[in-house]
Amino acid sequence: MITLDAVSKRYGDAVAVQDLSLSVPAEETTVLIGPSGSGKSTLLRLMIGLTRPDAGTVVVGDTTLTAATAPSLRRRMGYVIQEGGLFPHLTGRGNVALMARHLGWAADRIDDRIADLTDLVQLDPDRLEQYPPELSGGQRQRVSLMRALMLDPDVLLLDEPLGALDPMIRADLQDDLRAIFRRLGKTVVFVTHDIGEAGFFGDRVVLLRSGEVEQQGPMRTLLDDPASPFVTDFIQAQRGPLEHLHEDRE
Amino acid sequence: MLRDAILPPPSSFCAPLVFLLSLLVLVASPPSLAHGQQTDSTLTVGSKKFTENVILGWMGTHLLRSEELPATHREELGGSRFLWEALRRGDIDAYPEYTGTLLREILSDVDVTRETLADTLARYGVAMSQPLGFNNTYALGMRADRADSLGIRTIGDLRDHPDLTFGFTNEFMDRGDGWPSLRAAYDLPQSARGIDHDLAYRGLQSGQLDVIDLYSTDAEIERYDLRVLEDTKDHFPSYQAVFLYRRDLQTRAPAAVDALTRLEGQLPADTMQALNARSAIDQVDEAQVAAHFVNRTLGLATTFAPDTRAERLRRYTADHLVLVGVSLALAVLLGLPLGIVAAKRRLLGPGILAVVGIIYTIPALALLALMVPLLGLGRVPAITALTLYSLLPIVWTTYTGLQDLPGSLLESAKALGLSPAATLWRVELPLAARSILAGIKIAVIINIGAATLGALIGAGGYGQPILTGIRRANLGLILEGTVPAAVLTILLLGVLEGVERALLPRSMQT
Repeated sequence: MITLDAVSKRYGDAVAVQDLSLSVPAEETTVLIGPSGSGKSTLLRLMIGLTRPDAGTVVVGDTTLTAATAPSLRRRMGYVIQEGGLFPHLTGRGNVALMARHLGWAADRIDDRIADLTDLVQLDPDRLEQYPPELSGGQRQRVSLMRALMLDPDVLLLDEPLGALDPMIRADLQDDLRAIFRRLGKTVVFVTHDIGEAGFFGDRVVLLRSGEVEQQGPMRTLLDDPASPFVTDFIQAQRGPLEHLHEDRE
Repeated sequence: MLRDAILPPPSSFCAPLVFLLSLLVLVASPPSLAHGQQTDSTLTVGSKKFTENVILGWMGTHLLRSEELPATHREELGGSRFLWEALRRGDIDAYPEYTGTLLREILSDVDVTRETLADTLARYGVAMSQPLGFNNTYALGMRADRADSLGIRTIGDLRDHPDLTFGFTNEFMDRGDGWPSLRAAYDLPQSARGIDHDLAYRGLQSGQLDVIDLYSTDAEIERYDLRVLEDTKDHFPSYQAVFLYRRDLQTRAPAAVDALTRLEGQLPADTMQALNARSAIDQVDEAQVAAHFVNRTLGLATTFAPDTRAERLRRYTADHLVLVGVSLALAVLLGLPLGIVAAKRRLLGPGILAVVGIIYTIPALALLALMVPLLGLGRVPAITALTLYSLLPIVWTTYTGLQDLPGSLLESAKALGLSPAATLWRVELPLAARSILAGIKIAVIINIGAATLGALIGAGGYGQPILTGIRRANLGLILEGTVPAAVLTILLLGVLEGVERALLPRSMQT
């Protein structure tokens, strides 16, 4: 669904992504993981054209991402970031409906779509009439997800969407999000630095190190057959994923 | 004679901007504004902003009206240059002037003598009446008691008292026959500072000033018991009062020329000084002083009922609202896009911010003065200047409001697929609205204050009673302008507060 071919990106002297090629399969959840500075967020931004590669190409579907194709491609991709990126001057509903209104959707169609999405993300509809600063962190991320899904995109990109939430709410949202991903069957790219979360969500996990792919595949492969001592070190730095793997084996 | 600063020529850097803006003002203004508020058949008399000239202006106006000619009086304009330019442009048809001012100041670059003055004026399309009777020359004055105790009688005597404090009108400080040449002629050791003429008398009274420049027909000479120092070297030229009028008046309205020239020779110095005292000291309205004189001396039957305070207030308020309303609207219409361009275009941004900043550093009075040669008198130049003056806060707060938006929000807009224009309209401007509204509020405060200076170029408004009040040392009149201006400021800020509450979502209100 998304193909990166020999993509490089530097910020000044710092290499963010180095000659990286990667294929994101359709209708699966791919998790990008790695330590801070490994290039995972940059990779996500390259996929939606918020960052332009210094070299290489990004192809979404069968369209090469360029300045000219970016606006229309972005409407086929939903993007959620850590703090949600909701506009504080608009209510939850205003945020969710923004693009649809801009594109001239009829009011009925917008209302129907929002009603469906409210069900999907399990948000109290009253919350939609509130402004982002009036919502809890978890509610904001649910609204943010609704906004990303409003135009029914093929691809959903999430950049540490749960990173700022406390553990209980985070666990709740993790369950809900995974259910949503499975129900919608969309192509999902999910960035996290939490190996537990990666295992929980990822059909495939891509472990990045210094802007290059260290290893990719199902989490089990990374566990059972690590490509390098770095993979083992990275996974063992956190204990969480083992529990989920037990669940998955059952 | 000129009692005000001679104004600098318009500097070229803002001239294109001014023309563009004045075009906008013309488009935005009701038709009646475009040509100085009156129809072509109405004759306009101008006067400078000191008592004697205002009285003379009223005499001319009464005389024109006695010939059944429709006439208005634009009184208290900001300086001789304003009137000269306005006369040549046709914004006014006549005004009282002094031969010395013409020779030494207005035509100082031209080879002209008293004998060739009328012919020279004709080249500029201007005609001159015969002298009205008095010679109102420049002089230096001191309190008589102080002069006596120091033994000072002549200007030359000042040389022996280098510690004396001199305070001169700003115009006297740099006009051709003013302080620099006087100082050289008498070899005086003192330095001097510039001060408003009406305030200078008070400085002299309180002892803060020892020597001021004055005019030989000033009513204050007697009132304050002043000593006029003898000009033993005949430094100061003769300042015969005359009426200047446009030459085309001779064909356009010959009766007007006949009317104005009836004043020739009718005003000896003691008469003028007495009339000045009636106004400056007894606080009688200049229009009435002038009416009384022309009725008694020239057998007219002019009646002049001064406006009541309520009528005046209504007129000032209407004028002031037009100045403030139109200029603020234009400043928002121009400032908002300029602020947006400044924020969005890296190359243009610093230039735009610098230009509006530089405009703001021009004192409001000077900015008004720059407008007169380009746009004449009245509302159009005043609104143009006020618009330019109000740009700074609006442009800068728009710029900073847009610059300070969190990058994550702009990325969110981009990631959603919003175009730059839609992002600006749907996201950036609403988020910067608080900042922009703050800029507009500052512009309101600046604008209402600066608009009081509009009276100096004949735009009326609350500045009119302030000017008159300063001239007559009449606190009541000053308050007649300052209090409504303050009330208007508070009201407008209240309106903007309401706009803010209505426009901004509750998440963005404090």
